[in-house]
Amino acid sequence: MAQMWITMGPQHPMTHGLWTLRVKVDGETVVDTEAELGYIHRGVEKIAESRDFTQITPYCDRLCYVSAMTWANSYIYAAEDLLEVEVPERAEYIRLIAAECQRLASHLMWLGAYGPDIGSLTLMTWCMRDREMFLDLLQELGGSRMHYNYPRVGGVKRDIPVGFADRLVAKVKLFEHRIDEYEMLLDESTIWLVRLQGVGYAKAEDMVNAGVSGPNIRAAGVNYDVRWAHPYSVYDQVDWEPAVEKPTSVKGADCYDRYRVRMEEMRQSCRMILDAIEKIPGGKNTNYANGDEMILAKAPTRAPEGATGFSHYECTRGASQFYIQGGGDGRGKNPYRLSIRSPMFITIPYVAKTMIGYKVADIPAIMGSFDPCIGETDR
Amino acid sequence: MPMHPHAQPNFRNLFWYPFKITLITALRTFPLIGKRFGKRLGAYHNTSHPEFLDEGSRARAAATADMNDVTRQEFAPDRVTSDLKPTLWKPQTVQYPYERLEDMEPWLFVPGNYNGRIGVIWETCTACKMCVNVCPNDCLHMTTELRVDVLDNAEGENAGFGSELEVGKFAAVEVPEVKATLDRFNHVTAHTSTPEEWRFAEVLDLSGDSATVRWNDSGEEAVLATAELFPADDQIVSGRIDLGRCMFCGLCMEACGFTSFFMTNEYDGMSGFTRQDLWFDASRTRVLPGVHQEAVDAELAKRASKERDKRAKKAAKETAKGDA
Amino acid sequence: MDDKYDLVGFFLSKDGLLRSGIVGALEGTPLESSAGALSFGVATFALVNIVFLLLFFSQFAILWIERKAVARMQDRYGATTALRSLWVGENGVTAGEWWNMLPFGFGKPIGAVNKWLNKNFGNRDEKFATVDRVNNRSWMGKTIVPGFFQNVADGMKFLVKEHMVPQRADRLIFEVSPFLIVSSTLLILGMIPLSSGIYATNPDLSILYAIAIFGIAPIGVFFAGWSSNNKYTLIGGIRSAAQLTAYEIPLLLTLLSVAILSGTFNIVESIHFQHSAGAWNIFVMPLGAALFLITMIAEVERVPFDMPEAEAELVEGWWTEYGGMRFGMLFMAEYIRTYAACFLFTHFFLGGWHLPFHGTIGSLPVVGEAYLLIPGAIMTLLKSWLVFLVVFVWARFALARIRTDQILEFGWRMLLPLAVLQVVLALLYRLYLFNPEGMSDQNDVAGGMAWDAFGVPYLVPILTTLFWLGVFWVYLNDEDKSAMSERMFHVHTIEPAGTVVPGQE
Repeated sequence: MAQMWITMGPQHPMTHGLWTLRVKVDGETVVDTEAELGYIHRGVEKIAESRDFTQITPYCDRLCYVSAMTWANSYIYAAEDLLEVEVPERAEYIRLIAAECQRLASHLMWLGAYGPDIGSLTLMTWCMRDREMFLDLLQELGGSRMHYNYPRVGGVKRDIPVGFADRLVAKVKLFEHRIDEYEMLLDESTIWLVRLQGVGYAKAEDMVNAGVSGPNIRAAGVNYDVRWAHPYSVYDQVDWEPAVEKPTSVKGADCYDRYRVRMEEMRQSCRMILDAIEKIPGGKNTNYANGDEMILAKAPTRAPEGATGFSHYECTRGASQFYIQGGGDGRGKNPYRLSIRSPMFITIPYVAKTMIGYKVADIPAIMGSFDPCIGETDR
Repeated sequence: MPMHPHAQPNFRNLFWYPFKITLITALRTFPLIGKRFGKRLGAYHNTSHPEFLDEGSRARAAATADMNDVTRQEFAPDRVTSDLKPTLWKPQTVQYPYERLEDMEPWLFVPGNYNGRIGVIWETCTACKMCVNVCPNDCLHMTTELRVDVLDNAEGENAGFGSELEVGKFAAVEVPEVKATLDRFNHVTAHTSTPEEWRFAEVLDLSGDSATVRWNDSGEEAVLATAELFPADDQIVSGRIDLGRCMFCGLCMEACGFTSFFMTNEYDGMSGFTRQDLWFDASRTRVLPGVHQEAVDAELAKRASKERDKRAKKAAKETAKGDA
Repeated sequence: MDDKYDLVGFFLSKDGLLRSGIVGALEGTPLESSAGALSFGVATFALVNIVFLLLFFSQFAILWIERKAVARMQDRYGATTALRSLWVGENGVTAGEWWNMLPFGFGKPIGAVNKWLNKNFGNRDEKFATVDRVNNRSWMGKTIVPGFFQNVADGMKFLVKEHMVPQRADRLIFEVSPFLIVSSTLLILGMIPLSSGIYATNPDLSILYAIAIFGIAPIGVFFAGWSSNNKYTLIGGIRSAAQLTAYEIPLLLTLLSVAILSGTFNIVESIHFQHSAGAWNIFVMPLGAALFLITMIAEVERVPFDMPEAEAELVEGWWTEYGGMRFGMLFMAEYIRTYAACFLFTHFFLGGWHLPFHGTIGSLPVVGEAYLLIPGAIMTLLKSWLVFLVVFVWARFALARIRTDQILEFGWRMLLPLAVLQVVLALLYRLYLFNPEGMSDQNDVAGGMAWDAFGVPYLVPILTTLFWLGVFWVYLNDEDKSAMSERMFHVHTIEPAGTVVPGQE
């Protein structure tokens, strides 16, 4: 049979977002690929040039909507670097808890989409069920289930509510049982293993050269987690470890390694949350008023011209960076330029080339294992 | 095919774990099994989370118990069934919009700080335009509306600092049947705008105790006693919000200092058939003063004292002029 | 033994009511000479229709079982609509007046029925008003088999969807393929006996007929995939053809071993054999039973073998371009094939319509007689539903999808040798371990003892079952516990945070 191009087009049940993957197949084997991005480019960087630093935060939530809190946090660190604000420690702890809850929700979303891609239809509802727990927690904190607009320059919008700590601990502890259940269904299920092992090899050097980061390189043995290598916030004070897999093949990390890394990351996030809620300064059952100095420091609203702010943050899918240059048209109230480095934008072209040589049926397995989110890719 | 050393695809893994866990999950959904053997089956039945039920949740469930009795489910179609014969009991569907899940499940609630529909206490709005300036999407517009000023409707120590009835200006009469129900008007379940408690009219003629007015709604003329009339002003600050553009970020609420501008914790009531339907004017965003009475009282006292100082100053100037 | 409810005899016997009635009615008319043939024709027509409809409509039971079991495994409740929602409305508005959509004026009498139903079984007092809302219309708050008619509603929904033919599709083949698939599937239903007395047709070589009919559908699938002028469906069709062909052979060999064991190619005879020999085939050839189930799951293209229609890659696979009732019929055909596979398993391995422990329980004083009154058809249905639930549904939602080349490798390299082994074993059993004198009479309630060995009754099936269970047990426990115990990731990070950046040591 001749070679033909198949378009896994913008509308497709599998593509985890709005992009086109064109695949050239020879029978069942993939011979070449092409990725087309940009369908949901919304111009966030340009919009930011005419908004105050506080007004930009809700836009950053919408970059990767599945892991909104991490992206808003990432932006806020850059803004705080620009405006030279010292964040109170309680606020840092709250941001950590919120970001890790969000990481759990994001990984569950990934698993809930990845399972049905491979064929395990049971996973979709199980993951949504557990994700609801964390969405409820984030709703209590941030006021909404998806786009919270929670961090502020200098701290957070509001303090943790009374009783939140108990619910948080109860839900995280229940979730740790649930991770065991997922592993029981998947980890040692032969069919899952034969679908994921030996598929989608990605070598560590190639990935680092291409700029891939996050769980994808940790699956290949590269122990690079921004939270551990360049700790920000209070990540060096809570009890956790980066989840790193050493691949068993010299060919690199396969899909199974990437899947295991994310499961371990979920466990580590649970560990982090339980530790942070105990260590939080000011106590876990106190609730400070909005704007109290324990949770929000006074921050200037203008940045001098030429000042720059930079943040390097571990989002759920990799290392994100924000670069802000101050002194825009609002004479300092707006940034002159906001530049966003999205990990998935770097990864997706790399992933498209990883798929060459495997079967058509491996495309969702490989693509899903890299956990694409097109919101942050297209910005 | 190189194998992960911790996971071997073998015969056992084909059958044992996946079948076991799906069976356990299926059995756990039956309340008879899930509630009795929940702990042994690894997790709880969906609706019996003992740690999630704190005093606050129980109180909240009790408050809406008359709508949905979560403790004695006989046939109410919610997810907590009466346990013994779930397959024979009613479907599990929550009949939204008549019932809401957060009213039925004690451990589920929409938190008070939820970024829901916009609600404004227009009585205390000072037209400072902070909300308009901070909105990233330009959703808010200041307008004016015909309303009884809060000072004109005050009682007690703050009374008497309002304006006077004038010919050519407006007046308002209370609508007693609406006023009686205002206490019980619940934004959460009403799904309509706040009922209008005033009936407005234009003042045509004032003579002592009575006034001739023309009703705004019907155009008829009537003669009423001045005691019933409250002066109304058509330049009272009001606003319009385009919920089609709003991204519910809550910055407007923060800019207002949380005194007049709120985001209620309602997630519905914001639908329409055209984009114009999503332009919410004051009547659809009105939060009754009774909801945040202290804020209203504080604002009222502030305005009354300002007016008092103004009149005192004017009186002092008059006496000074009179003396001079 | 023969089931006491004999529908075939009722319809087809010359002295039966129907045929003698027709012959009698035609006496004295010009058709008298062919009255016998005519009566046979009418009786056959009636019998076939009745049995076919019985099978067809009992399929809704398995649709319901699947939806509800799947939902429970996914930690949810599934469709819970009550039948009453068809007529009960809300606030005086009846249920959507859906009957007005029906053609030929059927709407009017249905409207009248609706009125009557509402009067007698409609919304009652205020207490139940909560219950009687939107689609929450149980009777007094209780529903038996909730969600059963949801499947009917879903099927009817297909009737109003658009039927579309892609522009450059090969129209003739596009339209013909659903016919091929569906008609061959319905032919299967024609030959499945519900009991010894309830069947549409009982050809002498019905085992061969079953496997042959199952094998027509792959052609239709391939045609459908190719003629849709769609790269996705083409890939799906090719995958499907390869997979189905690969699994026909182990299936055939397994059925061959059943035939060898039973000594006949007739389904009814092989069921009689199971009873007369004293043990159901599943105990005598458990390997064959397992093989049969696995190959049948592959034949009907269910997870874990549903790669041809995997939605992750191919949207819906070879039936993507079909809309409306053609899609509905194809969807139904897949379930009919699954249902037929369950029936075949029941007949070949679970003793068909026979009640378990026929002789033992049947000889108890009062309970025994009540037990023996249970119709065999009910037993067949229950066994099939149980097989469906435990094997097909559970496997579908516990396992993931296997890739096509892995499916083919599994079929050719693992199943085929095992099937050959099973044939050899069946030969050995029949030749050396089978005791023909122990066969009981066909209509003996107690069943026979043809599988004795060394004087111990039923020794052969007992040992066989224990042996294969032992093999299963051994394989189940072959894990390396020490390697499995540590499920943590490989690399522990020793350096504290912020001290080391990899690549910059």
